[in-house]
Amino acid sequence: MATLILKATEKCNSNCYYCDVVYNKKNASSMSVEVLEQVFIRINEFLEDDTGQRIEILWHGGEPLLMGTEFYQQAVSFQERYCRNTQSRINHGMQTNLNALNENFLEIFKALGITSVGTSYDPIPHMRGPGKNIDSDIYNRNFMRGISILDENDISWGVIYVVTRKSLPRARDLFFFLTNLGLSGNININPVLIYDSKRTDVAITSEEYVSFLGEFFEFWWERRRRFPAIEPFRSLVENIINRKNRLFCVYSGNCAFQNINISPSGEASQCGRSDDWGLLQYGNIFERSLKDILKNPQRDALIERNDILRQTECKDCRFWNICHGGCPLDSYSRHGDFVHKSEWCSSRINFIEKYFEPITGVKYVPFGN
Amino acid sequence: MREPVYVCRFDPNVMPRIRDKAAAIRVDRCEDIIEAALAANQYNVRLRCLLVDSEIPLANIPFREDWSKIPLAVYVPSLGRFRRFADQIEILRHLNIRVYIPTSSIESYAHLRILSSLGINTAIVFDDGYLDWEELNDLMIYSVFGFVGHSPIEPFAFIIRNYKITEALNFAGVYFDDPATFLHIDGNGNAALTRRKFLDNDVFPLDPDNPFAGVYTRELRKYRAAHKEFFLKEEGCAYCPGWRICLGKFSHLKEKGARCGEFFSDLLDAVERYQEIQSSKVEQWQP
Repeated sequence: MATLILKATEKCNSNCYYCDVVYNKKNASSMSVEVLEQVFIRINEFLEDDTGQRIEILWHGGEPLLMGTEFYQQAVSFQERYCRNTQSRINHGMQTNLNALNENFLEIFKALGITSVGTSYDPIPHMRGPGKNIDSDIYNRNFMRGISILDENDISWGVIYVVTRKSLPRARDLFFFLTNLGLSGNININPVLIYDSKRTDVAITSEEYVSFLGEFFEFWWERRRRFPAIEPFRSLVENIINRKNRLFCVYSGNCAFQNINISPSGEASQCGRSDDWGLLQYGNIFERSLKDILKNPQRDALIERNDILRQTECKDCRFWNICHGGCPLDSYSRHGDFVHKSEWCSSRINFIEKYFEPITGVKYVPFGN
Repeated sequence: MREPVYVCRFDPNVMPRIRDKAAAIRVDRCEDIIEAALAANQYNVRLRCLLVDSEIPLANIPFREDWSKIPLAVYVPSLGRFRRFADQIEILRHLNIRVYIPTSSIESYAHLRILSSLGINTAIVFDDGYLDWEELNDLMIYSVFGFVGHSPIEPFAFIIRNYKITEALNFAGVYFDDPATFLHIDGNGNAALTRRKFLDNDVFPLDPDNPFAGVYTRELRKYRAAHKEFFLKEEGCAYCPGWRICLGKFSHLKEKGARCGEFFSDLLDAVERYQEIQSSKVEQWQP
């Protein structure tokens, strides 16, 4: 299945403390109806060409709900018009901060078959929220209203929690807060990534992230039957204990041929991060088909990276099969190329060796490729 | 949504409103029990129970054998004199009764245990003025794991019956106060989501023949959304390990340093352990 990350708009209604997009996109743009139409023309072409394929559209931003219901009604119409015979192989998801969610969107969600959304939250004040002062009260109230709407309408939701310096002393609090939210989807615990942002005061080191994750994991392991869906723990259990190969894009080593990010102007690139940085640009969807974009030779660099890392920095690493050197974009941000492992690679290894293996009593033994 | 169970006073104005409905009917005096049960029958009410608010201790209530087929929820201030209570034991064991006792004194915990061990169903009424979390914990362990046969103590038995490991659970229904199940109504066409709201006259119009047509659904949504308020505070119940069972019922005490969080966290562990034991139980072979 190919994943199409549709950046409907670069505009956002939140000024999250550590977000680079706010700094980089002073003139944030939004997707036009023409680009939207072309997206569905390309999707149909791709699916008709390969009848075994499916496409997952992930509506992303900025904040995708800022586009309003009319934009998504257009999307529904275009899908019905251009993908009449292929729409059963199209799934939709959305990553939203929920602040602009209202009941009017429910019809849209229904029409697009959206039964779950991804969101993000931080109870620590002034990390997420609109305006210069990052008004978290507004964000949080809107978020809570949003999840009430989702809950009342049986739409499942997951949450990304970004670990910052302010989170570090509060692992226990945050564990119970997030699990008490009663969400039906995943909780994803990610480290804050500071690149261009001036907000270096919330940056954390790989070691600090490991300590936080370790503390969080101890709470989780005891209560894992209550809250099964916390990442990265669940996927590590799947891979290490249940020996099933389930890896997110950054650890999979095969993101090269799965993802396409479409910017508001229709420019295709590898993913959201590469688009933000102007890397791995694969051309515009008015000029190229999705098939061409997925076969763009620039993607070879991501595949070659696997071979290079196995002979260099990751040589003899027993965690290769569940890490693959981490996200290639991490390598780029530090070294200016893709042939190094992610600086967060050590956090994955350290977490497994220092916490996962001792707490679960299961040592990782590589399997598969 | 399921049709609610109506909670109302035994009152000639209210009875027609609950015709053919499920209801818990409140009677002021034990003397009214038979009359209320007959009226419920006459109006074809699916009687959940008669709620008796007694001002006198359990031992002093003149229980009658002809109440045996009437489901009773009897709120008493205390057990009363044990010698007098002892004379009631036999008849109490034959009634379909649950005795609600407040935690207003240290003896209450012992009384709940005595009643339970005598085979009489009981429920703890949490009294804000006197709540001993240690005693409560002992009672909970006895209720969940006690080897000697005993009758259920609520809300523990309710939690054991209904707890699903990945979901939060509201035990307020034990006290007829879960608005997803119970609605408090009067004879003037009004309803309230909880007993407290009913007493405060925080009511809305409701037609029991068509409950979901009016504002009930919206009120219920507002009530549920109000729980999210806990998550807007920088500390407190939303950060508590026991939240998914307690749901902030003791937030006013927590602010004063109550150890409710530890108690509900222990309760969760106990219930999960109990469920584990039950699911792994091997049927003993028999000769």
